[in-house]
Amino acid sequence: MENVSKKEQSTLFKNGLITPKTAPYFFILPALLLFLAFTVYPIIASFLLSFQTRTGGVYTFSGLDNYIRLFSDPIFYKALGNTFILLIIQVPIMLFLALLLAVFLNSKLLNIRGFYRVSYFTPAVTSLVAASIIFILLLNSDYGLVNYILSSIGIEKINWLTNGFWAKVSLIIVTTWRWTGYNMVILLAGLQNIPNDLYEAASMDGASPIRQFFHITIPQLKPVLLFCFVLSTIGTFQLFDEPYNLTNGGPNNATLTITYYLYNQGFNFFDFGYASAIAYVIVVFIAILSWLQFKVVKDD
Amino acid sequence: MKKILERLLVAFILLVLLVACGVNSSSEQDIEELTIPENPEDINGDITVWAWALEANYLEKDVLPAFKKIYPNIDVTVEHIGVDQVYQKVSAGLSSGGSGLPDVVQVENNRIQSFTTEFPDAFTNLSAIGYDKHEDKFAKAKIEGLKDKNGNVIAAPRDLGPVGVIYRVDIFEEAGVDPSKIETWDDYIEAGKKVVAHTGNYFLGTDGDGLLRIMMQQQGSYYFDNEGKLDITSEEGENAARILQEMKDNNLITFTNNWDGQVAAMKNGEVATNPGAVWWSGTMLEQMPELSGKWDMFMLPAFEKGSTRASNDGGSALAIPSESDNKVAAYVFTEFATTDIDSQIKALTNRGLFPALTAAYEEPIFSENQEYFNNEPFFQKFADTVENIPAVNHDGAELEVRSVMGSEIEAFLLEDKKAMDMLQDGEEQAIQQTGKETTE
Amino acid sequence: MKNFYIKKSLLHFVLIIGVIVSLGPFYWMIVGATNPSGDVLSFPPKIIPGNYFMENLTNLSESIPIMKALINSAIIAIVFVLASLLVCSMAGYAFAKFKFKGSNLIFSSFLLAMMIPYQATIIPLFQIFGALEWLNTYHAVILPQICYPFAIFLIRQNMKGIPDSMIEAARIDGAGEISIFFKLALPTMKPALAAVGIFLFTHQWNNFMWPLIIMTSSDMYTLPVALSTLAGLNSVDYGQLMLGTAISVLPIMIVFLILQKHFISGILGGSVKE
Repeated sequence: MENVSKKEQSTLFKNGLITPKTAPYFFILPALLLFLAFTVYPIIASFLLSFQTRTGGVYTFSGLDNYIRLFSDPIFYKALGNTFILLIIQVPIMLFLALLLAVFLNSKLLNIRGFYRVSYFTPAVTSLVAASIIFILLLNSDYGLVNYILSSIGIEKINWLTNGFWAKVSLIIVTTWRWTGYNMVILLAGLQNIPNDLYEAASMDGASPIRQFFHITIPQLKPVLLFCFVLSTIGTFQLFDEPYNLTNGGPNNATLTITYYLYNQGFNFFDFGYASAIAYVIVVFIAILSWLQFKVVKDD
Repeated sequence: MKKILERLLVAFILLVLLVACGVNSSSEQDIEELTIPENPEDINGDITVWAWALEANYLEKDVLPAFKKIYPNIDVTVEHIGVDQVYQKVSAGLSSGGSGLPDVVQVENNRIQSFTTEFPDAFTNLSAIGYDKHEDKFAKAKIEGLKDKNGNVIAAPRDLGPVGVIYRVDIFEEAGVDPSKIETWDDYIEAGKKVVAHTGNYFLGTDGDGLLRIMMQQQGSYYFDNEGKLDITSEEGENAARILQEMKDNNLITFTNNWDGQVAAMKNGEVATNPGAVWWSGTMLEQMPELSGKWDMFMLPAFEKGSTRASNDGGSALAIPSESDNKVAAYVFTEFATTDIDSQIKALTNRGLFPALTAAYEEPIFSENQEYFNNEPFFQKFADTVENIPAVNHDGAELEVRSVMGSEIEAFLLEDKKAMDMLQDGEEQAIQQTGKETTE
Repeated sequence: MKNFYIKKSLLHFVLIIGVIVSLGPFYWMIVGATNPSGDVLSFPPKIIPGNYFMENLTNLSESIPIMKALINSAIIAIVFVLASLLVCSMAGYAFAKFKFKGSNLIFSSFLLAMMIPYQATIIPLFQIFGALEWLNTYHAVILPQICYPFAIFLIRQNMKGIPDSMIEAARIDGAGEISIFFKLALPTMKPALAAVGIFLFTHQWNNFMWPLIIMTSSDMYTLPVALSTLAGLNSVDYGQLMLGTAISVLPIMIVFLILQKHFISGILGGSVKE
């Protein structure tokens, strides 16, 4: 480049080096370089690590040992089971609530949407450390506010955080509290993209609002809903902050998620080989599930 | 274009492999001879210390001013870091070959072995620099746990967690229970029945496997034997399980879920006792000042009349990562912070951290009556138990096994699992998780 | 007309319940922030703010360099958002408006990378920065995530809405590819950039694990890392923690308030419908 004259250089940029054919590579280059250095390299390194075990401070190649160990590890299955329960129960509840709020917020009857949007979005941007302390206190079985209110309407006290079943319920509540607004915002954007004349035509034909919702809103929103589903699937498999701060994965591993288990193996027990193996099993699960979700939507 | 991409990919993978090998091959550590200069003023340089909460305050505000008077040319920066975060950072640092670590770091006793098992060269051998000369100044149970396989001290003892039963004087009086008559765990359970009948609450709470560990160590046993084999279903373990089962059958024990739950249960009078370590005093003074005068302690009940009434829970130490650039300064700081008696006293009075340095127990603060604790010499009572604390083996797999047993305790307290099954299942799980053998 | 008001009040009623659920914990945070530490645990629970705010503030600024952490967080988040917006919109533009070899491969590997839990790749990433001797620097926190697949995805969706004919016309007029991007494509993307910017900003503002590990001295800590130092083994100062968290939430709420009008319209542009 140094011996190219200025004039030549400018034509080079205009017509030579950066042509409509080469331009995309130019545009993609910075992202690609950063991606290779800070994402691909760590991924390959940790992938290689998943075939190694550490003994006495030295990593040695051990083939598929970590993966084989994984499939006979009862705690891994428990964590996987918990993750699937969350996926099957929490994600639909959250997306349903998010959709409901989005439809309400999209209503023409409203004139102060901004206030609501900010309120609902706020939990998603808060660090969970302090919020979880509040939830732990609210849900305490003996003197928490929630049981206090329940007992005043005659419902027996619930061991929110110390019973395996209710601890899962608590985790679902907190996760839903945190992420509903986030999904609502995305769905709201999708709603605003639906052409108004579709509704007007339906109204003229005398379709009720509920009928309109199922026959116009849902089909039109399908790609956005799919998008939210895929994001939430990824989010559920990577769920860590919430159980870490709320229940520490307990009681008796009832709220141990798969990524939490990965974290424990790596950062508490220093077995980064095993932790990496878990990570790649997670990736396979997410990939399969995302693919399935796409397929279901396409076939429909 | 496709070819170019392919070639780039291959080149990239080669690069990755190269870098990976380059980073992983940790340089063999030369065994360095460190000599500490006679004149303190000859030692200079900057050192960084990582510690959390009370210990960080202690090192910065109590130790540093006194230290600077003797070693004016050493600049010490104390970084306050949360406890989980210290371990996250140390794990990351050690896992990637030692970069980014400080010169001195606080580590709990029960973590030391898991670091040294996984990273044999993680910390500097303090014996080699001369820490051996302080060895008999410390509680034996403490310093034994800080040695590596060759008997070298690798972390300097700081605080200790002698255990007693902290109890509510007023509730005991109302229920007509005399704590001085409680000598065995069976007595404790009888007292508990009376108190619970009176208050309608619980006698004690637990948020994990702490009580089980306390009871096992009290009998000189632990999750591991001295060779590091799993020893959960030992006779001592079964003794502890029997007592725990009785506590549960009589509705004396409640599961408090976590630290906050345990604090709140004490603060709100939900429990009348807490078989716990002396460091609870710091939290109690800070979080429940309104209960001043209502607490006191009696010694841990024995399993049989006349047997050991002492145990330990927690406590930490200071270690020097091998990658430290200024080990001489790091060593003299560590030595000062752990062996200077005046500083140990400040740690106790200002922070509630109980020293492992037994020489400090002669100081008047120990025999003073504490207003908060029923005007009794609270600290003396704990200090008196220290020499009886049995030393046990905190193996490198301690954290895995504690995590297993924590879950098992939860299953026992919350899901109707029998205490004996808890030991049995716990041991099986521990074998699965750690790949260790068990004792016969 | 009456019907209209009933419907409207009903709607507001439901939405207000949602607000109470969403913001309730924040109210408690304010209560905690204005009361002495131990009071958070007392029963019956305190439900009105106390008068301990100033004490907590003084204690907080004594125990952690809260102002410095606020500045660090702000510098890191702002530089990160600007850099990431530039890099990701260039990439998003390439994916949306050009057909080129490798495009699908690269785009799907970007998306695939989103599926890997970050906990698994932290150690190798740390090794890179250790080897480069970039520990304890701003760019060590900023660099790794500038290429943010979710942002590229959103921008690509939006860029698809730019008519090809517009770009062709500019080419015929003799505009270079780079100036087409900066002068034509980017300006139409303002709402999308605002939306993506908010996602990026909140992500970086709450980023915890990575800055924790990479920043080795407290004068470089970001807010979440600084707040985490308040938790000890056997002690947590709730008053300070709640106050600190409240302080850390405020800037995001303000940013969101300012940008939220663009936000909704910018998330998906006009082109999710295939």
